[in-house]
Amino acid sequence: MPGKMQTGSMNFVFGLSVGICFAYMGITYITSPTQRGLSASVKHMAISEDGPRVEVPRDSFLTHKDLDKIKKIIRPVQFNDSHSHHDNDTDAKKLYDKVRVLCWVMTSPQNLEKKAVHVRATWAHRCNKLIFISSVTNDSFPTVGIDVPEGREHLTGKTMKAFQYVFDHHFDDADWFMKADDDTYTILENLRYFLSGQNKDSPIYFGHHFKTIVKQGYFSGGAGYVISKEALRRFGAKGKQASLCRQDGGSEDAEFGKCMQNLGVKVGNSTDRFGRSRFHCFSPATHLMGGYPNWYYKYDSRGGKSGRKSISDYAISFHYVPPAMMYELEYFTYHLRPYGIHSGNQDLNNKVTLHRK
Amino acid sequence: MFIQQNDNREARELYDQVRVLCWVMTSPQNLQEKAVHVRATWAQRCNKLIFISSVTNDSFPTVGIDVPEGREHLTGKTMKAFQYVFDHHFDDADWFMKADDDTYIFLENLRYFLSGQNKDSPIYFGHHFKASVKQGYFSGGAGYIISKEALKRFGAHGTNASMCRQDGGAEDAEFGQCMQNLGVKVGNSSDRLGRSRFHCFDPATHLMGNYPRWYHIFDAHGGESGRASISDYAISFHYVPPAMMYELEYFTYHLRPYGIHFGNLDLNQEVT
Repeated sequence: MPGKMQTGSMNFVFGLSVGICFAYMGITYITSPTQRGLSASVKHMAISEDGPRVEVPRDSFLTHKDLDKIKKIIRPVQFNDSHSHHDNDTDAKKLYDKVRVLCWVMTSPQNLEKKAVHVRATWAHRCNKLIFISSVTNDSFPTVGIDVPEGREHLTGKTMKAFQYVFDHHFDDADWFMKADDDTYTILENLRYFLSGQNKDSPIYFGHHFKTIVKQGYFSGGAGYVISKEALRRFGAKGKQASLCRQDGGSEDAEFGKCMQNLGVKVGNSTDRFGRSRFHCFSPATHLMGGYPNWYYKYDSRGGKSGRKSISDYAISFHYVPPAMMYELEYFTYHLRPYGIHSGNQDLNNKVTLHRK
Repeated sequence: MFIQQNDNREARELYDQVRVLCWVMTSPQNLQEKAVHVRATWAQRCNKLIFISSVTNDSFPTVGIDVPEGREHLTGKTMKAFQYVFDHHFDDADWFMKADDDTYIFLENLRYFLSGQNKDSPIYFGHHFKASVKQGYFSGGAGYIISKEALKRFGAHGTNASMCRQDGGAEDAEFGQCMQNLGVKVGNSSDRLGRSRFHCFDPATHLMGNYPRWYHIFDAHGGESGRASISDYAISFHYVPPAMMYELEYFTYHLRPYGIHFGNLDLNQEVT
């Protein structure tokens, strides 16, 4: 009879809901260590140079698939305490005016509250100009919607159209133009310091260098890459030509890399004076411990080095950074400090060799 | 050896003026999994460093005390460890800190805090829990640090079972009860802006506030969270796995934002 069946179904649904609630609470509680500290999932690690060697499981880094599993919505954390700092940031402020950086961050409607909001709450406010690119325009966030569907198979299209948008609307707003993901963390002061030794009118771009696929190599999309004004100008002029720049499909960063090569834009070297890396396509723990996936050793143009001594003190970016870690990085970079140690400016840029046009 | 234009003079002066002995609770099975990373990172900044285990290991080195491994013997381990420190190292330091092998300590910030305290006062500091003991006690995992006077009283009466439980129970609560019985007071280590320095969870948990429910009942400060509740001169975090120890080393002592020069903050409270 319908009444009895309805009661039965309702009981079932109720029981299922309660079960799911308990399971969710249990999973949230149990897995929150993994959410809070990425490195909590690393059981044994290989330490390069800094200490004893221990075996590391190959999958100790987090992939986008892992990050997508973190469903819990995290409340943005407030950071207003500059009144209590007695920091001297004159040098950083000067560079802010001299080396203007436009950041465009690749996101999507489903990632707005999960990821992009935390990018906005942390590092991205240090960009001279900030644009979130999505498939849908959202006036309140705000995001710029470009006419490309979501999904990994359209990341190239998104990137091409994003740079076109930036060229059409913001060419005069900056000297350098950076692409980042919504799980990239960027330290803008160190980016400007590096760029202060570079020429924005040179056809060049910088990032974490992969030596495959493209003759001159290309830069990892997740680590963030930054292109010069001249590079953007060339892209603006010819980027829509499918023979020079693939309009969609393929790997976004490799395709953009081919496009840059076809436009005569050179890959630049961003290692510091001691040969240490500044852009990073994995999280800090992965680069410190060396728990790289196998493919990385074939791709990385510097042989897949790891350990603290291979990373610049003026590191610019890290990738696969979930929201909780973005707040950790903010706290550690701009707030926590060891009492009585005053760090001066280091001279870490290389001399720039003249580039041919 | 990389040239970092740091001026470490103040930190070095404090190193000489405020001597800290660190004893780290570990075990034979944790030596290569955890203790080795403590040794490779923050613990080298202690004036004196001792790893306490159930087994003596001359090469690591660890001091073996006569207590079996296991959570039910952590109290016994702690009591014997402090006894060992009193017997062998009383004159080597002004303050004596207990930490776990998944605690991370910022020694410069610990010394800065202690520079405003009196080592001859019967007092100890850590992350304050308001349960179990009348005056409260300090979380074992967050690390707690006792004054020279406190260690002296422990050395005199600590093996007296009526004052200090010799084994069993929760290590930190039992040690807290022992301290109270010896007239050692819980001290306040919040900074001048009321922000916490010792932390019984990892940084992300304190920043985001996803605490387990018991914490809101135990924490003497009501379980606050968020960046504004944590001192810039934080002293400790807990549940720090090895990879994160290297991250903390890199972030604290190497990574810098170019062009921002951190000044000294006046964050200690007046001592009444």
